[in-house]
Amino acid sequence: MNGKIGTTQAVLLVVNTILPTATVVLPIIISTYTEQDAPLAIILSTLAGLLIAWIVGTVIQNSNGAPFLDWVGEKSSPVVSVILGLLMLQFYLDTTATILREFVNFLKDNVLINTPITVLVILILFITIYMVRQGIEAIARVNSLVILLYLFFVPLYLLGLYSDLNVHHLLPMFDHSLAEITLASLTPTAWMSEVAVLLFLAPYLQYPQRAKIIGWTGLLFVAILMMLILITALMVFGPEFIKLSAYPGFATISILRVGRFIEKLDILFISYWVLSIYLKFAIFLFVTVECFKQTFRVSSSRPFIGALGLIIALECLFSWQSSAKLNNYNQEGRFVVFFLFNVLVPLGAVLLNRLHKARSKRKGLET
Amino acid sequence: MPQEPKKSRQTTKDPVETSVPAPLPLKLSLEDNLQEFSRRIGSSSDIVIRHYKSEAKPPLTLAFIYIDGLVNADTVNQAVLQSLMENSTLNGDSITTEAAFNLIKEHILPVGGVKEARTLEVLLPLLFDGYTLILFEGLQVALAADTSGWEKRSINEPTSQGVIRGPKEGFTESLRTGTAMLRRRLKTADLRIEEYTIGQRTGTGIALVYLKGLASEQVLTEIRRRLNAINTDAILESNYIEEFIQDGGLTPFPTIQNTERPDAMAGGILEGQVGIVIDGTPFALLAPSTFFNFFQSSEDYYQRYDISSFLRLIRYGAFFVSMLLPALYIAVTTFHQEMLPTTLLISLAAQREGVPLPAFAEALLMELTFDVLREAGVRMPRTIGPAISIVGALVLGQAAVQAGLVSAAMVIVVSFTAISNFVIPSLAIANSIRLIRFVMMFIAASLGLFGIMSFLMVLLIHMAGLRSFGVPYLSPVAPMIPRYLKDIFIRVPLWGMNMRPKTNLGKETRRQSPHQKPQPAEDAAKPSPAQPKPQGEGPA
Repeated sequence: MNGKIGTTQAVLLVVNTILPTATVVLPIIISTYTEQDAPLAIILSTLAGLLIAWIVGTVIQNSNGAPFLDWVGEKSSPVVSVILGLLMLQFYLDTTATILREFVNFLKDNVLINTPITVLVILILFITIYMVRQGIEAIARVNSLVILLYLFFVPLYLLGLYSDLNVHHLLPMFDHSLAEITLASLTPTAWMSEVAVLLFLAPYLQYPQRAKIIGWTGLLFVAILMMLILITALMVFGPEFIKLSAYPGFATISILRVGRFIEKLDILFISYWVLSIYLKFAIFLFVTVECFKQTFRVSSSRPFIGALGLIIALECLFSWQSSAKLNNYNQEGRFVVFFLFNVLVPLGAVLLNRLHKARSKRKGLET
Repeated sequence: MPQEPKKSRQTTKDPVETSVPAPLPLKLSLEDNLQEFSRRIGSSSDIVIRHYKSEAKPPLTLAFIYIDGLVNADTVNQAVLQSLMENSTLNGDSITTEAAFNLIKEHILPVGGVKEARTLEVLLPLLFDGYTLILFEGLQVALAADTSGWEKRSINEPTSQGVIRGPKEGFTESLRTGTAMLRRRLKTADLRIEEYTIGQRTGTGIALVYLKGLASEQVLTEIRRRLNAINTDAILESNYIEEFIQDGGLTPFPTIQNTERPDAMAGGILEGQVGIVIDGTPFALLAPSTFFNFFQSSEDYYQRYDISSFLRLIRYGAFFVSMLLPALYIAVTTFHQEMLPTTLLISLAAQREGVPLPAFAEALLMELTFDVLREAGVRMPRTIGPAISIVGALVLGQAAVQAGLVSAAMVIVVSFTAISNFVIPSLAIANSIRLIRFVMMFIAASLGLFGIMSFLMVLLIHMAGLRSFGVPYLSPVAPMIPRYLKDIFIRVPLWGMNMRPKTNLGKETRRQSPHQKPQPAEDAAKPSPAQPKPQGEGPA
């Protein structure tokens, strides 16, 4: 079922890899540091994200879409590839577990207040395992359909908020120091670095040589939408009130109204967000399974999807019980871990390839 | 007490396998052959065996076998019996049995199809197809003359796919009538009809109809492979074939269309689909079929494109209403009351005040009641049919509300859902939604809108992974091919659809010349820089 995915589909996969959780968590983190200068932090993080996409794209171009760990094994040694695979597997298991936790936390806080978290986790996991078993081609197709719905939701969002937008809330601009803006851009940069999932999606890309374009286009799309959400939230609430809500993006939606007859649309947007986050979780579970497959060199990963899903569910239920701990990790810990695995690992791979090429050239000259 | 030896699994024979006897060649003795026939087919009252002995010396001895009711009595009498009995050469002394056989086969029988057969296994199916068998004393070969002619239903208007404007004729139960109706619409040398016989006890004739060059060879090979793989004793209706060959296994969604309209089938064949006409049913199949094919009606092309587009959008809306409305009502009234405007919320709360059942039970009760009424309406004799609507509308609708069993809002929801279900042109997909609706209602009652969204995601991913003979079920939307969207959500004018959509793994082909948009004569005469001249392409 794992066929090849086209360039547009891959771009849209990158968008939903980053956007669903970023829209929920980022506005509060960024505006805490930079208040009305939050858009500058997004711009800075987008530039960093584009650089990361360039590194990831270079790796995929060099490997020509070969499985990442196999390619690393070829260029270095199988031992290095297995050790790197184990570390990356741990990273993806953790990341997927935090995505699941953010998903259920949001549902528990806003939608299903009385439903036990374990029930939600089991349900979401079953559905996502089914999605992953259908293959990346099916996930990419549904992802494209879901993103197509932005054509309905974005105009509705802007139209509904039009009367509440106050441009003065964005002033004064450049009121924060570069250090503060840089600090605020660290977390969004960590999110932007999730473009590195392309390393494990590369074998399924129809045109792996276009990996850089895929990454760049996806990140620009994400940046535009994040900017839209952040600026509207700022214009509606102002730099002080935005800090009071745990989910400023959804708080903005709750005041949305069109005329006197369309109002209280938060549940509609939450429903749409549920579709997006399912896809994000499915993409990460797929990448985790792919990482497992490449590390342990199993021919078919289907029997292991459930087992990996169970590990993720257990980690989600027992390691991230505290929302405060998760928020703290998002603000402080995430950047370091993401920088290590999403930036340094691909950068190391690029350098390894250069070294390998240089050695081969030298050997060629010697002979 | 002695125990009977247990039959092992290996020794239990498959009934389908045991019904295939070994080929038995004909014997020289006519009497032996007739006895074998009697042993095989019994002494059924409709089987006619007529003996004939010529006046020649030695006499030429023949036997005619046919089945009364399957043959045209006039053809048998005049073209077979009379021709042979009154032929002077056959009654002459000098003729041998071999010479008589050749004479009958080549000259005497004035019927279209004459076949030669040497075994009972070949002769018996011909007998059941309405052929008259001619057996010879002293020969191990027999003749079969096509005298078929049984009572057929005349061509009528389709009962399940009616249109206001457009052809009013539908397929009948006769395979040959069906293929002829297609042949009449597609007068091209490229039309191909391949016949299969499937079902060891029913021997059902099946015709694969396609246009050579338009239908994908890959799809054709796959359909042929799946048809040949069917090993069953009976095919009584097109659904038997559909279930054996359709993709998806346990999917609730149909991946093969069925139609009783020859014009709809011709339209499908012209777009590269493959038609499967089955003897004994007016419902023929079209494959491969995508999800969006089920929302297209033949009438879309028989009326203006604007109204067709509008109606198509209505159908998609009705699809979602039919699937989601009761579930949304349950979710909103149970979990998300804050979504409703205050006045509506108060009105609903007042209506539900005396209702003893939760919203889910109320909806389930009403939906099941409607399904019972619908099923009763199908089975009930037409003369007492109106009673159903009276019982449904008055007793179960109004009285139930007055008795406080269900709320008036729920009656509105269920009625609108039911009506929306009938808007969908394909009964196959409408029935899928009927079942999905119940699952949706249960999930909505348990998990609210989140549950509905979760189940929608499951359905979406299931459909995205589904294929119909290799064609993605959601194409051309997912994967998205923008230039093939001209006939999906809306229908653009016919002069705007110059290319045939590539949804069947075949080549994208031109179906008509470009620039056929009607223009006033003086405008058309001027060469326009935006519109290059046609490159000599022929008409469609």
